[in-house]
Amino acid sequence: MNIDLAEIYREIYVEPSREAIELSMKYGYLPYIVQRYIDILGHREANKLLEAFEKPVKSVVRTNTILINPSELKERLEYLGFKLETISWSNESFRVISQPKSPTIGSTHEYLKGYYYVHRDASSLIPAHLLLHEFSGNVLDACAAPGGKATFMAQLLHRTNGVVFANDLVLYRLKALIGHFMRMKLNNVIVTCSDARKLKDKLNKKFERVLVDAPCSGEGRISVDPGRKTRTSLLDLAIMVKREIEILYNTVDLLEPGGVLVYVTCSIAPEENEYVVNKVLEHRSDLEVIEPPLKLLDYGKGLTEYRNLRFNSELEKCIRIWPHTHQLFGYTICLLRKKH
Amino acid sequence: MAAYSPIIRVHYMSSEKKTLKLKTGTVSKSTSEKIAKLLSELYGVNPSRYLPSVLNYTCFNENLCIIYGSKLGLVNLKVLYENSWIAVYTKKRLVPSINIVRSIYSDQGVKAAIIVKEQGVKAFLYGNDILLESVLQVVPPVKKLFAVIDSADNEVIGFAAWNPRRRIYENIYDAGLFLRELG
Repeated sequence: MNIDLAEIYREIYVEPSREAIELSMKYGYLPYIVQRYIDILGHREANKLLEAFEKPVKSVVRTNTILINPSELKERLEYLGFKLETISWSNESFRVISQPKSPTIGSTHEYLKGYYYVHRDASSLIPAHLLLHEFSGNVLDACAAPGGKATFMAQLLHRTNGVVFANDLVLYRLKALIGHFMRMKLNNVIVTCSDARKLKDKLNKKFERVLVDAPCSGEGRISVDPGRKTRTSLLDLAIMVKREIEILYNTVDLLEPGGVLVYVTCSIAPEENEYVVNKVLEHRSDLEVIEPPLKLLDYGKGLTEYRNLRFNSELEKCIRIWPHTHQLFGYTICLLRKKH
Repeated sequence: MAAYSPIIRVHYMSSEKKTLKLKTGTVSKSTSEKIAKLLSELYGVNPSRYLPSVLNYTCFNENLCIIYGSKLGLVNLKVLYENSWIAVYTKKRLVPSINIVRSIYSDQGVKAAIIVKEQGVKAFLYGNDILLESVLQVVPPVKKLFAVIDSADNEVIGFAAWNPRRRIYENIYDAGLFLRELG
């Protein structure tokens, strides 16, 4: 698949309006980012989204159910002074409502002993639930570091002896991933270092489940990383989009016929999500978009049009998690099945 | 330690100038034998029951290497870790992994261990040594190396070695090491 960066840049180019410039000055964003929010949501809802990004999110503790049961962990952490709230759609996980001055949630003995993983937000639990619903077998996590989803999948597959192939290109992030696997005593994992775009040439194996959590702008995580309001220029975005298309296009080759791939980004940018999936669908007739097998939340729908771009109508089946409606990080998730 | 040790050099993000070097490779025959001997001496087990035939290693720095079993032979890929964590090389010592000792204990009961009170566990998990008064029980056989067990839940949390001169159990490695060293 030949991908032209100039074409991507041209297609995603945004000229901000006066209204977007004013709003972007108020909240400290690059104007093109705000223009997109207005285009997708309208002025009023875009304002709500920008307000939501100003609010802190609550971190989430996910019990390592291989070592401890959730109620015992909750009791132990509450004894230390943490106030926890069970997440209704992921009952091994708890939102941290308040915490003592010491210890922090990442320095308790329970943490060091591997009894739980700390997610910055509950959104990142969703892809593993959707991908592994009623599944046993091996999974490829093509861009796995720092490991929230990979450790969760290893935990979910543990009883059925499924193995998580956790791959990433960035070595210092893989180091942390290995640390988590060792800390949590997860044995059903293999960690490899490779460019996800080249994995198909190196891995003589196909999978029934693949997770592609593509390196992205992180536009859904602005509430914890406000630097992202101005970090990504349109050209930077186009470069990321090109890489995301290449990763998705190539990892589909690692799917068994009938296998399911979840494409996910912690970004609400249509360019990094529906645009990427649409480009890959244009070049691959062996792929279809499928509905999520579980309704964990009242998901937002995927976009089928954006500005002057028209996407495949099937992309409506993708999921959008919006910070202002779900009180979570912004995430976009598309489930794709390889046709037989 | 190893017969083959390519160095993988991967640069941090371009804004940073640090270079991370990892060594990976296949563990030499003599190191494999040392691990087998260690398991046999400490726990009286038949090591072949717990050791895969091929052992690989990844060294993160001069002070920390992990040794794991290699089953799949993914020759075209740089494998940094595989499912059966066997041993650690740290502080110039070869020490069994927490996982392999948990497995041995599950089969044969606890051996060559110290069971430690809460205060001792707290200190140990942050990299400190264990004072004699923090030890509730010493489980024989008494060798130089002891698995450290948290009395609260009977979990193995690392390894310590008795230092008769200082009269303390010196921290060889603890479960918190991976967080401190690997991030």
